[in-house]
Amino acid sequence: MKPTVRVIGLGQRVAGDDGVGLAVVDELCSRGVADDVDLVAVSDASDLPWLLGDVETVVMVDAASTNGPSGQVLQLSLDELRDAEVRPVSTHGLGVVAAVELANLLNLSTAELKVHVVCITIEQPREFTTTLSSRVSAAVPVAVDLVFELIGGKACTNPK
Amino acid sequence: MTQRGLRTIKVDYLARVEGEGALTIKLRGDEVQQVELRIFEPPRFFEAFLRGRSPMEAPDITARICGICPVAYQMSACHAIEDALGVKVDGPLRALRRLLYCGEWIESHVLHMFMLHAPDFLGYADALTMAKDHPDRVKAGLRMKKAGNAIVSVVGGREIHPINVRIGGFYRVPSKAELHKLLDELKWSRDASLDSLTWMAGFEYPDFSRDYEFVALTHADEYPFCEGRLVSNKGMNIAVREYDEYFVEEHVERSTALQSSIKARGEYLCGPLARINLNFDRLSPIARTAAKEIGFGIPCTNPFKSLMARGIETLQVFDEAIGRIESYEPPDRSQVKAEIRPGVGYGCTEAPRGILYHRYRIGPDGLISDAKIVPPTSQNQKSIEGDLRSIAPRLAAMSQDDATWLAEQTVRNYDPCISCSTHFLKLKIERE
Repeated sequence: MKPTVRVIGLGQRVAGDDGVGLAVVDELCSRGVADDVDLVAVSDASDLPWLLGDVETVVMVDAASTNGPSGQVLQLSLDELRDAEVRPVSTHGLGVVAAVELANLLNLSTAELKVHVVCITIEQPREFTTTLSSRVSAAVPVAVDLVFELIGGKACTNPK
Repeated sequence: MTQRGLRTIKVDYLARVEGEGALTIKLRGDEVQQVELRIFEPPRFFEAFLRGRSPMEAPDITARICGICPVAYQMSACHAIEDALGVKVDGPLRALRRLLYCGEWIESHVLHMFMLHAPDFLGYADALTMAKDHPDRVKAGLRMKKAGNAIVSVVGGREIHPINVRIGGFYRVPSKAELHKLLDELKWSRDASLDSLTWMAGFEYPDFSRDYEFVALTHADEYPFCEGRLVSNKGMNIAVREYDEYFVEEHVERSTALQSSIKARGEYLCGPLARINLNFDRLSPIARTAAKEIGFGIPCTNPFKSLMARGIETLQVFDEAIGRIESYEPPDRSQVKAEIRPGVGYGCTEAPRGILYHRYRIGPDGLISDAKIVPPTSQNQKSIEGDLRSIAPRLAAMSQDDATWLAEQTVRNYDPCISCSTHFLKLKIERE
């Protein structure tokens, strides 16, 4: 079945809590999603423009470094994310908002595309670890529930 | 800002580079009083992290230094540790390493050319603005980068911070089918990179030149990646293990990154412009022919033409990647056995931004007792300041906005990676 929804987890597994977006996609995969939901893990945001073109809804799940406590699940608009992005394009790649805007400019996505952003707050990664902190780990099921809510409860009983 | 005859041009944040830094240029008329590249990204202490760790961990730990050139860190670490352990990786495993490095050069060069540097030449504030007028070029750039990502993903295990590299080779070698799936996009990208090179050759390049000492690896019969001797256009020709005898790092108060220089000679330039000047005859026929057709000749001492050098190298590595895949036969083993023993090892490979030197000492306990890592941006800092010092009189005659633009463009010629060098920018120009 052609996907109509794509959930994209962004992050780096080796940077501890920065990998929470990928952990959310892992959990979605374990719980099972409907056949028209495509689950993707992305480490390089320059890959994003190519993932925004052939579906009706995209949910991006990423870690967000804030001054507040870690482990909070936030739903942000692209405008709110734009205000928060420090560096849209750098030597190390594209920012998420820049990637979405590029996709629009390059006609890789349509104006009708619904984009949701789910962020899990983290502290600035400071060590090499492939595991999540307890607070961020506890936020994963909360983020998963929010993603299911955003994609209209497209769960399934037969996990992929 | 003008204050009692003192004119200050200030840019609080230099965009389109990685990391945190600032630049101050002080001018009295046309005379340059001071050029300071200040790096205030916190030092990252990777060399200290490595002490007490197994040499086998060095490739994975050092790969975390940089998100755009992790392969370079892995390759320099592997070569240095293998040097200490007396291990030689050759044949198809060596070829696979070169393929992986092709992927990283594509990722890094294409991102810099299309997203960071081309907007400078065409008068756009950023790639997003440029994309409105040049959507097909930007789309082509993204597609080429994706092709590079795919190589790193298949050979390295994932596109950022590859996990499949180890001392002695790889944990797993890809199948012929996995690599052949990449060929169609790589062939499209090779054609696109050739077309892009012609496009970039048509840009207006500032008339600027300096007498550089170019430093790069050189190899008897290959464009340099992992092996060879360190050479310069001023007579240097040394083995990698002689690096510390010829190069010195010094701390300057304004910077958290060490600055490198050649002992008794001073600044030098590494990276694409140095590589291509010192290895032009090692380019593949298609890259060499393309360079000649766009009028790129050597010696080329205009740092702004590093954009063209990157474009030629991009064509080179797409061509090499295709050849490596077409001739690929999976090796019968994924790694050469390596046994830990005490010793000192030296490794230097060509990261996209230039030479990346690693040295490790392994103690009697089999653990790393000392590590030294010299990234390319540290090596280019003095040269960046030298360029700015030379171009500063031109800045003095420009409007605030134009001067700021040209100064930032001058820095971006080097595609500096401050995060790597911290072991980098805010710009301030003061004029009297």
